[in-house]
Amino acid sequence: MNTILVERAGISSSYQDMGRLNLQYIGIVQGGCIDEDNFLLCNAILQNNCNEGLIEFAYQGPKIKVVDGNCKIAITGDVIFNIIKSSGTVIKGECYRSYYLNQNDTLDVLTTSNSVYGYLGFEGGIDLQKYFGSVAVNSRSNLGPNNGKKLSNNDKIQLKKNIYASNEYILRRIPEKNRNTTIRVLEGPQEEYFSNNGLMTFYEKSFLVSNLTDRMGMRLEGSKIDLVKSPNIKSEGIIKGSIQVPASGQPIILLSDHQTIGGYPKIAIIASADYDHLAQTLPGTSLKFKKINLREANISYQLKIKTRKNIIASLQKI
Amino acid sequence: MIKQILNFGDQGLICDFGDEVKKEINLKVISLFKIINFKIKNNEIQGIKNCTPSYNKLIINFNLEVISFQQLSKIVTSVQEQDLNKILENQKTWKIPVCYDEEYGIDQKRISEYTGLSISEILDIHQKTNFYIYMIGFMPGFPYMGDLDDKLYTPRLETPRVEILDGSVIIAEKFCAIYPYKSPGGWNIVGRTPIKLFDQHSKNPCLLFPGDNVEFYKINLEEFKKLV
Repeated sequence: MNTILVERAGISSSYQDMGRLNLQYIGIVQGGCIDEDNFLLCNAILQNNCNEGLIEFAYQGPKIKVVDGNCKIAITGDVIFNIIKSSGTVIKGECYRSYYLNQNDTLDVLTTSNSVYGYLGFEGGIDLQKYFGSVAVNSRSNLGPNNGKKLSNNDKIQLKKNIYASNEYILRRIPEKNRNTTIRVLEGPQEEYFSNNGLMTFYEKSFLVSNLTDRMGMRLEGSKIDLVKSPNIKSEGIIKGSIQVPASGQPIILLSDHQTIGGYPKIAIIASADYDHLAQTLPGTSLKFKKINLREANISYQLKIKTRKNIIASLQKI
Repeated sequence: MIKQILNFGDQGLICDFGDEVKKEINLKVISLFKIINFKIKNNEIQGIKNCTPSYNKLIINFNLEVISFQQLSKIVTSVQEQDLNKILENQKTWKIPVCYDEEYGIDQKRISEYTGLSISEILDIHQKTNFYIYMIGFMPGFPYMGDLDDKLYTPRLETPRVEILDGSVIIAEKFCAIYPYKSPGGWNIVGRTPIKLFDQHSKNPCLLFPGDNVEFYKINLEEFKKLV
């Protein structure tokens, strides 16, 4: 047995992988990790299967203790954490590398810094039951392992295998800190629901990320976006990153755990290259939107994938 | 047939079948959905993350690392009108028990006041209607069913309720639905079914399928409690 005790769950910690595919027709969203880059990098450092389930946390992460066996962990994102060895020695943690933990060692994930989400992975993976081919927890629909719930204090995490002392790894290249507050978007399918003024407001004014933001959506605050038609459309399928505008004129960006069908007009949709970065944006940040075309969006996405591959290729033994 | 194909962001494609909410049009959306799913299962298309049918649209979410908008558009436009008419078999009709007792049918009075019909007339019409499932979504297992008899047309509540019980059978405008989970909501509640619409532990987690039909029949409170 290889057991980890959750001494403190953190604010919003849950098991995530890349989510469930092709079930949206019965109301099940893909869900899964919010920040795909950091999810994939975490598994790459641990040399896991790229879709291995791990723990996603927001703001304050979990404090865990290895109560049985040994393990190897890695943390990705912009995260401040400590490793407290059973001897009492405290090691200040570095992201984007692995650490070997012995029985009775503690890991304390204090906080994310200038970002919302971070990832904690274990070499070999966590022993979790898959539902519809995925271990992603959707706490709004109670889907996934752990009764579809977020992590709680005193939960026990079982690992798939015990790890014997072995090399630790590090990414020599890490993702660049992105401080860009202009988010690239593509034209939405219901632009005709907005007046010219409404569209100008959206593309020229700044919007504040509000506190009403979670895995499901990000509410923005700013100048009212003027609609020319009734703000109800025939409900239709949603894709993550859709920016819908209800009658209030305040946009809502639908994130990974979005509802599968929605009935508000969509003014724009986030370019895939900027989705992870957008979802990591802290409440209180002021954002602007810039329209790009499909060709530009495709090029920027290919660049993002290429950058990630280059980062993964920089993995080395310590 | 498909009126237009549009991109929805850089990883989405919209097949738009026109503006009408009609069963005949929705059946074509569902046929196209089945054809695309068949192609996914046979490995004729790769990189599809999701395919979501709604009243008059099929929205496909694809993985740009695997397939492009242009490649996917080609596949969708190659589907012939006659193929859309062929795939309409296997639609089931479900008979779903509903307890219409006052305890659960809390908005019957409101519907009666709005429509001018007596409660027994309302329940009679509700049970005689053959409902068609246009789509499932919003939350797992939630069926959007139509068309409700015009005589029962009642708007949504102005202030949505904070909590509606799971299994609540609800109506608003020309639609009827059932809540698979406890949820906030603004539709009018006519009764409650003991049938579980969605259970992730079950072999068939989602009871209903888009394109299926549903009819309701009355059970009393005692029967309801036995079936829960």
